[in-house]
Amino acid sequence: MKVRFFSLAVILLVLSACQPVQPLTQVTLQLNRAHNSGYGGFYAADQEGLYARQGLAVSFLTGSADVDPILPVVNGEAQFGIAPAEAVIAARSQGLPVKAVVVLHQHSPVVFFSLNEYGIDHPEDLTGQTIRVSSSTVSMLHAVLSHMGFEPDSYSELVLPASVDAFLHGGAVVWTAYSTDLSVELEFLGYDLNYIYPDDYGVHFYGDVIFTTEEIIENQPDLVEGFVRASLAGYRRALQDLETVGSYTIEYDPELDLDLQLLILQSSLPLINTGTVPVGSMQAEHWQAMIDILRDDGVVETSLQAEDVFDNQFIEALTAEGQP
Amino acid sequence: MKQGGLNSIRGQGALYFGLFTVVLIFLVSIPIFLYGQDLIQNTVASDLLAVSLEKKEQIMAWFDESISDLENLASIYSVVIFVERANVSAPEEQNGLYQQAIDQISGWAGEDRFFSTLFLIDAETGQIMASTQAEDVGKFREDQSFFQEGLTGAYIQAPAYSMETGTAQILAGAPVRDSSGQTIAVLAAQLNLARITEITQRHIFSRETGDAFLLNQANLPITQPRFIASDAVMQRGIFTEAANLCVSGHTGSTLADDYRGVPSIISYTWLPGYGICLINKIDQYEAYQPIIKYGMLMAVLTVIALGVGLLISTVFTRRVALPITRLAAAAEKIGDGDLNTRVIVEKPYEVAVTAGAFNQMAAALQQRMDDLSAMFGIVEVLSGELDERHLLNHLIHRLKQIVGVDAVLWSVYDPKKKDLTITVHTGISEEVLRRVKAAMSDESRSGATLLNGKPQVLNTVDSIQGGLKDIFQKEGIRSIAAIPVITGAHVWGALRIGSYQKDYFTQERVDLMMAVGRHLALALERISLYKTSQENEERFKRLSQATFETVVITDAGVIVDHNEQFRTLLKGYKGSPIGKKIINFVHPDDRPLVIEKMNSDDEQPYEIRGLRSDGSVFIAEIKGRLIDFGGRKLRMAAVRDITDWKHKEDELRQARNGLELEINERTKELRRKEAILKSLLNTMSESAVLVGLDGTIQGANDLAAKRLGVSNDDILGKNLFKVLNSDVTKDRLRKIRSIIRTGVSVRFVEEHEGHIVDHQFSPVLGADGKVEAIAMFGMDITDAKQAERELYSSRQMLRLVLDAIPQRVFWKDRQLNYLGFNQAFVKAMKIQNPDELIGKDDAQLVHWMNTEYFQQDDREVMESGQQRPVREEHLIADDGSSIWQRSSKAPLFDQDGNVIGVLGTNEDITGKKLAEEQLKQTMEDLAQSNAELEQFAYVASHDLQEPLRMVTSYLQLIERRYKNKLDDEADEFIGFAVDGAMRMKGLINDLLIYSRVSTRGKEFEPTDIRKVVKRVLHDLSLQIEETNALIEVERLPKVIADETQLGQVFQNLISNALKFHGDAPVEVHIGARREKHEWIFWVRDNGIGIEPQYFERIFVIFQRLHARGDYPGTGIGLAIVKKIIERHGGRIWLESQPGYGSTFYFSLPERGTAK
Repeated sequence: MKVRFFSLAVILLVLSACQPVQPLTQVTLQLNRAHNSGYGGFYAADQEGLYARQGLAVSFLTGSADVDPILPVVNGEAQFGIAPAEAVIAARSQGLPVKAVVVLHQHSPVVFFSLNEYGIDHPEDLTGQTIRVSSSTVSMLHAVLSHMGFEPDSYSELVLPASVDAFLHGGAVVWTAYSTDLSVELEFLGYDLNYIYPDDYGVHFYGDVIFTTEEIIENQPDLVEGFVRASLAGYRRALQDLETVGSYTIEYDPELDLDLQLLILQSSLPLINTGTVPVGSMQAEHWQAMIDILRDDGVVETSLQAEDVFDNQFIEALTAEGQP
Repeated sequence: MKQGGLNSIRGQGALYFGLFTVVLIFLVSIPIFLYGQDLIQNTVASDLLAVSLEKKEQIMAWFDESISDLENLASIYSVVIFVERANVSAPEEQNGLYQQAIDQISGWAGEDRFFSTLFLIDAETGQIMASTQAEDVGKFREDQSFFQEGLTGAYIQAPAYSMETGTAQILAGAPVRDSSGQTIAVLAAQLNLARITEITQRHIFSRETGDAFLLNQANLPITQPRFIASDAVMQRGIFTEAANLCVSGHTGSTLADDYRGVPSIISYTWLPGYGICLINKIDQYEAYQPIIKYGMLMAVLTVIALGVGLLISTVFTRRVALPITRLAAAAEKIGDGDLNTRVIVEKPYEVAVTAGAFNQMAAALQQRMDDLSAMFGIVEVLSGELDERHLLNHLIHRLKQIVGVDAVLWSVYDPKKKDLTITVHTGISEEVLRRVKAAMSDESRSGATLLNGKPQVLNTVDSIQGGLKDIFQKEGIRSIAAIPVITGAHVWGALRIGSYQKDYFTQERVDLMMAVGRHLALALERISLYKTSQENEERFKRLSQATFETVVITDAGVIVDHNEQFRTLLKGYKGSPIGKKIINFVHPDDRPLVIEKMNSDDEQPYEIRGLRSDGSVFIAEIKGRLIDFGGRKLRMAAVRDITDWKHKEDELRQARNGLELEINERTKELRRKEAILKSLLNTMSESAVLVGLDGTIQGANDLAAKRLGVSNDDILGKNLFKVLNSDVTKDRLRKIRSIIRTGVSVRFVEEHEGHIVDHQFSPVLGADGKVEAIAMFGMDITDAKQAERELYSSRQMLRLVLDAIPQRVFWKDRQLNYLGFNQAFVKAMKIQNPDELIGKDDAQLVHWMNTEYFQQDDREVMESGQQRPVREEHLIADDGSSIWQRSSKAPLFDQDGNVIGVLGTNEDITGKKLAEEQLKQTMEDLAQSNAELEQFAYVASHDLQEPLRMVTSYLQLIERRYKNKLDDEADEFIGFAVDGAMRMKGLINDLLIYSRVSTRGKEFEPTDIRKVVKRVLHDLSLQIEETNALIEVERLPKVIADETQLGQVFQNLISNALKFHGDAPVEVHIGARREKHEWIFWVRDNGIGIEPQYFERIFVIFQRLHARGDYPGTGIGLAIVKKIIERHGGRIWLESQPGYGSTFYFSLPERGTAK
């Protein structure tokens, strides 16, 4: 009996080995910052074979303040990219054929912060200040200040790299940056910070989004669906097991501090799963409100509409299945 | 096979009995166990669900109560009134009114209340206008559903994450409606989650593994799950089966893994309308504890039953197994050779039958053993004998003795001659023998018997026809048999056997006889072969003795024969070499070779070293061959002694090798020396060239080749003079050539292409003292020259610097003697010739009271090896006066880091020190005087108040009582007196306030200037309204200060700005900026301005620039301001131009360093 069972197992094994192996499709994701645990969902999907299950082999291109994440995707160096929602709107208004397929951060992680000792608590405190900006935060700053009725000459802007050293010695009192990034590191180092959240002042921007080209959406919808499905499953893994997923970050950059990365991931997850809307979902009104604010701010000059900048079909398909 | 274990009857009995017991217990206990488990599971699940439903009711009741309370708060009359007023008020008043509205109900918010925060939101913009949490004011909530829904009715928003607090929050909103029912604001609240957490965790936490928590619709915990160590609220997703069922709107219970993956009993309850799921759970392990205990009891019972069963089965099986064991013991004895053993067993029946069969088997075995031993006796006879006749005789007698036959004869039949020969016999008379022979020769019986190899048996002679029958009967022989003796096709003869018994030849006996016949045949063949080999050996021996060469024959390495020459070769070997191993005569080193050759078919000659009996060695050439010697494989070797020939050959070879070795050694030595020389030359930092007398370069190092611009490979053989010709003057070339004649070295330094090279040409003398060659050495001294120049210039620079600085600088060696100093030092020492100082010590140069102090200081610096911090020293000058100097010292090190001396600097600070002392004294006097003055002012103003009040009261009494009763002049005088008294009262009050700045000041603490200004503006709101002033306030910082006094500062400055205005609309601008270590504040107006000459005066107490009638006031305001600012360690000043307004600035040191 045992022998017979064993033989059967061997035959099944041999048969399964004879199945033709489907080659994995190579996919590149352009990130908008250096490796950090905020991208934990993508790392989890890569490390735990979620991409492979969708027939994908994903490689990552890191980004920085100096790298525009849109162009590599438009040029075909990457199939997908991560960028702030307003960057996708700006690209779209310049005629670049990109669309968001998933909103990663339901609230923008961009905040204004300063050392507690300066007593800067409200947007009106920003007048007369030197404010640090970067390409990914400047739109948000303009939107908030213009929304609050401030003139552009009532404060000065300074472009600085996002580093602790620049924060302490760079000459800017107020900083605009991701709440999931530098501010986490500063608090980790023991600095007491005051925050001003744009959300509190009528500026409700989406944060990072996953985008791709219209051509890929049209010609390779299965590729997009597979990528979106695996990536969001990766973020679900992060919600379930923050420590494991956080530790994957070290695989991509061994120099990183694990404790800090866990804090960064922890601070990112609430922006992704807010509890009020499905993870990744996008609302046309929300996009339209962003476009309107950016138009007022002069970033968008064309007659851009919400439906031009995002495509909800993949998220809707997943939501209909009861995911994510 | 093992006797015990499960294979024994006892083991099998125990096994089956045990199995029966276990199965029986299992059949009874497992259904009970499963039933019990099911019962517990249902009970626990129902219990959990009941608890869940109860909690659900409580949570929903709590929500209902919260929302109802919020609605009630939103409809409180005073709240509505304040909001209504705020909505119709000017913007600057709105905030205050909204805040007053929230103040009416702020008691409802707090840690132990339904609401943690209450706030009012503008119905149109969604902006928070007032809140119990001040920092929320000004923020917008226009996109939140609690606001949007709260405009029309009370609403609770689903739990969500708060970015600001980093945790869960549940927000609710309710409309604030005016009397017409229109929504004029939304009263919103953040619900206090402490209560909901307490309800959730009730009951269940008494269980060791119990847990209860709430999830929102995105599977995020709203309350902390018990077994997640880190903060999980709104940060971890729980996606278990139960959680997924629950958030999709289901209520029930299930057996599933919890968030730790532990099997649990879980109840889940969905709270419709609030987007909340309640999970209650307990580990299955804990829930099933009662039934697990029952299971343990069953297990114990099973073990006991098993033990009892085994005992019973052992007793029963022992009775069956005992006779079988005896049977086994008997079998074992037989196995050991005791064939007489028998077993008596009566019961059980089956075993008794087995024992009978066993006894029969033992008897049969005994018979077999007898036959076998007879056979062994015969074989013994057959194996040892080499003489045929002896053998046969011995055999037939043994047959008679051992087997018990009565007559035996051996006949040989010759088929060619058809003749039967009887060689040996026993038990047969001569007559019978004769008759048998005659009878057998007539017929073919014997031949046939012999040829077909089969025995012929007659168990009764009665059947024999003819005369033989009578003869046999007469002899008493009753049965006969003929046994053929054959090997292969060769017939040796036949054994004929007779017995006195009839039917003697049973099949077993015939088989035994046949076996004897086969053994006899083999023995006869062996004897025949032996005879043949004896003959062959004899022939070979004769042949080998006849040859001249040494011949040795071995069998498996043992010498079986040799000729006489072998003895000669061994030189007097005593005894016979035969039987010895051949390798005993071989040198030990060559034995492996000999063994190898003997085991191979190789017949090629080979050389070995042989050993003689006297221990001497000979060299032999061996030619070996395998020979077949009567079926034996023997090795024959021809041995030739080649010792002499070999010795000669070796001598010749050695002579040649010695010669070659010597040549090689010498060549190597030469090459080594050449390499050393070459590498030595290349390690030199100088270029080196060896030139023959005709100028041919005979040797050069790499540097030389480089300098001469020739490649390394080409340099040898070139003519140096030609190479140098382009670079060196003819005069120098001539000098170089002159070395050949004079034998004197030539040297010159030359600068070429930026390099300075020191050339030296020297003669190389031969053994006869004559110049044989010229050696040229060149050293690049560019760096050395450069360093020399730099050193000179840096020393010059150092000297200039030292002499230029005003401080005195000196340095000493380890013995503390002066080595050097700058001009300032020389000047201080008042010495004409500075060189006199060098080598002297402090004992010779400074006041004797300072000598030990300086030297001790020097020694400490040198010992510590570190620079001494700058310090001020109080010393005695040479003239005995007291002086101050500031000095520092540092150790001096050599290149290896050893301290070699000390470097000191100092300067005379006596003048500065005296000035400082004087200043300090003045400051102390001033402070003392100020303190006394302040105390005086305070006491004076305070004590003056009482008599003044009396004067004023009575003057006013006189005025009321006697006005218009005296003459007009008296009325006027009384008026003047009252006015004077009133003014004096004002002045004294001001003076009191002024003095209190120092005496009644509060501790400095963090002060938000923004709030201070806000409050001042509020206090001045009437004045602002009257003047219709436009007030602009920039961003203001938090500082460490006396909040009340800074309020006075701003009150005075802003009030002045509002007061001293011109015709233009009043504009006041308040701001601050940060500079280095202080904050600069300013209050700017567009008022009447001040003439620069009054900039100081305005800060003096009771100084006024305007008539009292033009602008009211006593003129103390700015004096108080100045005093407050000075108390804070700051300054006050102004910029102003008459007609264009004034800006008052004041500074406050950062972080409250001022006192």
